[in-house]
Amino acid sequence: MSTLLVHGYNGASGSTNKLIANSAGYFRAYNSSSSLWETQQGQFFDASTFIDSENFLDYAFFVNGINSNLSYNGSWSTSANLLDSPKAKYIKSLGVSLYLGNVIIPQGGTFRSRVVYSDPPTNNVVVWGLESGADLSQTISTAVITSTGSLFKTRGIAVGDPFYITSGTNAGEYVINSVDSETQITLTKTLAATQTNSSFWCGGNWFDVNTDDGDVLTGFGRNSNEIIIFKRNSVHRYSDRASTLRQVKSYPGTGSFRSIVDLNEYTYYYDPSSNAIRRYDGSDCLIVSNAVEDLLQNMSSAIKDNVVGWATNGKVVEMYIGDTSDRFGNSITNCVLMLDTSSQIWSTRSLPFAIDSAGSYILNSRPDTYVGTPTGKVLMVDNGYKYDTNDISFELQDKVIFPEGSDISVNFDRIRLFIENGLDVQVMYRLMYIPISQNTWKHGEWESLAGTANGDMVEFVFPTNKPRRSTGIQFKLIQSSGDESFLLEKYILYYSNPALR
Amino acid sequence: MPTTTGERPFPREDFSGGRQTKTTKFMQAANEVDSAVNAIFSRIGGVEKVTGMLKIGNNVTVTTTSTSTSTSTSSSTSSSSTTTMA
Repeated sequence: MSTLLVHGYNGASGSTNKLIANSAGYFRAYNSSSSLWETQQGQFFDASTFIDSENFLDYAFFVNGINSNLSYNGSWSTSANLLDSPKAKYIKSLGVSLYLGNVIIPQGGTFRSRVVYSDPPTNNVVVWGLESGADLSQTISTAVITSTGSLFKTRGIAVGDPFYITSGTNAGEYVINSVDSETQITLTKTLAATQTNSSFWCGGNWFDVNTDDGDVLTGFGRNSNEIIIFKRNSVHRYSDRASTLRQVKSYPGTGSFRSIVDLNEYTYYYDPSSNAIRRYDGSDCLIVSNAVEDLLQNMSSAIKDNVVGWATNGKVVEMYIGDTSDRFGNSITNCVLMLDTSSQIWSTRSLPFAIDSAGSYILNSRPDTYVGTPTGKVLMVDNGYKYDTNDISFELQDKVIFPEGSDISVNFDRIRLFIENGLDVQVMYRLMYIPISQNTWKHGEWESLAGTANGDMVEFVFPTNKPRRSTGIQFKLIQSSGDESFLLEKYILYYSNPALR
Repeated sequence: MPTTTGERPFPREDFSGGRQTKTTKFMQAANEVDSAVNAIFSRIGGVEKVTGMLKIGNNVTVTTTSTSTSTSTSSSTSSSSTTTMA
């Protein structure tokens, strides 16, 4: 029962703002008055395929590559702004156009590396520049063809567009010489046979991205004035102004469109080939996750195409990577990597639930981020002091400290913590390089320091009945509660009797 | 409060490097840590507990209620009010 989608629709009127989710294929809209997710009658997508979405021209659009594309503006439709659009797995807007990726063109077939884009809106209506049908009439030795069911002019079919006849004796690629009427076109060359009811499609609003490379389009990003097109093994950028498509050097792409996060001037994504988070900056896709490399290397291979990313507060990128462990052997359940992009500092979350969809939307005058879980929960990120009803378990494992250097042993006496609002923080420690014999040192095990923090400055004393002499020491601070946050500002470690042993 | 003759303080007052385990412990910067779970370094130098996640309404999977919406093939038209169970 995955949550296949979380989407915020913000209508221009402000009166139709809706938080929309899809669980197991069913679209539902949140009613804040009743706190219920209202079933959207008749709106159903495949039950196990994740959904991509986009807001554009006062509509929300939903695609999954299997079902007919869907739009919403308070009402649901498979046609509003979608007439003759191909089914697509991915969707993104840029400027005055919508882009569809990995498409199935009616009467044309499946094009896993193709991008189809819309014309600039006409009277606030999206025109896709494609037409298709199965009623094409052709006459031998003429270039005139007719399709009574078509609307060639309305659909934006233009001179010079390709025209594909996909069945019958005349099957092949042609070029449009003139659009004579809504139902008639003249091609640039005559046809070899008289045929009726042939299948066809036509239109020029598309481009292919490295076809025949054994790879498929896996998602979109948006960076500055370019659409970023991801395949599993490559990244490309398309400028709508110059109509240019360029590969971003030889950088690998992603297998998870849900991991792609556009934030400020960068696009972040998970690269499964390197087990890394990369950041596209308009020129390069550089690895930025060295500091959490161990967590990425130890994540399950099963989640590599299911990494989910989102942004919070306009500066923090978060990536859900599932269960993992660090290089010290500590397990982190439902791990979320967090990168503060303003300081380039990494930290992590450990959640009591998995995440399978996410999105940031302005529904209440500011961007809010929502995530969906495999059990059908939708949660607002960065809100409250619990993960749903679960206390949050804080754990900080500090680096190893060598007060007098890594070869000078000392006695550790006590530690003072300066914690604002830090009730119930517990302290553990581990001695590093305990002198065992004349020429041997070993690490100790984790031990607890007796007592808990109950003030803004608290002191813990090392027990005298346990070893407390070594060259280094490492602290771990633990706290679990549903209380408001606290701030560890600093600590002072007191030691004595430094010597070589 | 215990006191020890010759006791020396070692202040640790900057955690602004965040989590970093790519290097050996001897190569870590003075402001880095080994692990930070449900922690965030938004206050420069300090460490805070992260904020939470607030559940929106009931589970999406179990909610059923009356609704009004429409679907169409060529234009948005009809509406309905019904109870549907996924």
